[in-house]
Amino acid sequence: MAKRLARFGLLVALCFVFSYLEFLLPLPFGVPGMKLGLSNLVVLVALYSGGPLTAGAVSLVRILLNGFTFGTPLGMLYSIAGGVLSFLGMWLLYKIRHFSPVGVSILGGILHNIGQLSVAFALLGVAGLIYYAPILLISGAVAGFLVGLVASAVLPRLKGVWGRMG
Amino acid sequence: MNKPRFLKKGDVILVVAVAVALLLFWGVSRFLYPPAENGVAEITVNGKPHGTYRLDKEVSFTVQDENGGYNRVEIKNGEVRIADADCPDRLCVRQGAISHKGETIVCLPHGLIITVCDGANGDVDFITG
Ligand SMILES: [Zn+2]
Repeated sequence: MAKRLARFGLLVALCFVFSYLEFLLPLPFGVPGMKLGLSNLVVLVALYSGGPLTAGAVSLVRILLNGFTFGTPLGMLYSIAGGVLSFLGMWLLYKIRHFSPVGVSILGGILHNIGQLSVAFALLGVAGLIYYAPILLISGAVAGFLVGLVASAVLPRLKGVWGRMG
Repeated sequence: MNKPRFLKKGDVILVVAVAVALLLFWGVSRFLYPPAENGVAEITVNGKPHGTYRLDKEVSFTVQDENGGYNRVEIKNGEVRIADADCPDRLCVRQGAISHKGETIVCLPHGLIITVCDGANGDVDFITG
């Protein structure tokens, strides 16, 4: 239990660091979906090294942090929709077991964007928003793919870190 | 030790499914969106009408949102696009130029939507801006 808590603490700290980094570096050239990337990496790592419960808790932290950096109640709504949908999708693929972290992450990236689009659809009520879907699909998939690659590289090395921690 | 495979069967299926969805979407949108007649660009910000602009007149202007953000809209060669914006994702800029009826450019962070519609017979010169 103490071990689990220590891991969770470390992951939450990482989440804070990444969110702050994203806040500091708004990437003016606009790499698509980059904003979602870093904090989704922590959720993915949590899923594979701590299980669904830890990942869910990290997701919650991430949603709150992202929502606050948006600074508006609307931003929080976008953050919740994206974060919850993305977590549920990744959890499902993780359980099915026929997917690598890369595949899990790709779906997470896509669902994150689809969740946000759904909120926009509900709020703005414009049918034309559907035209926005392909670019969100692509940017979510690309960001998810990159995050998945990083996670695949990080996860085996993390085993050593967790081992030394407890 | 059984090292986890880098890519599994499910990953490939997922990527193929996404690609098929995109292709379908692209095909359907070509079919659904014929070229506009005397096309105009209708701009709304957070659901409120902002203005309507003819596509056959070259123009470039900036739309401010309530929080001080901006989108620079450019109409050129019968197409409208967002040339520049200070939204965090800049996906609106990446959506490129549109000219077909029903096509849309959306900037989610700024609540800005541009839709191409048929214009009124081309003899309307003055259009709100
Ligand atoms: Zn934008």
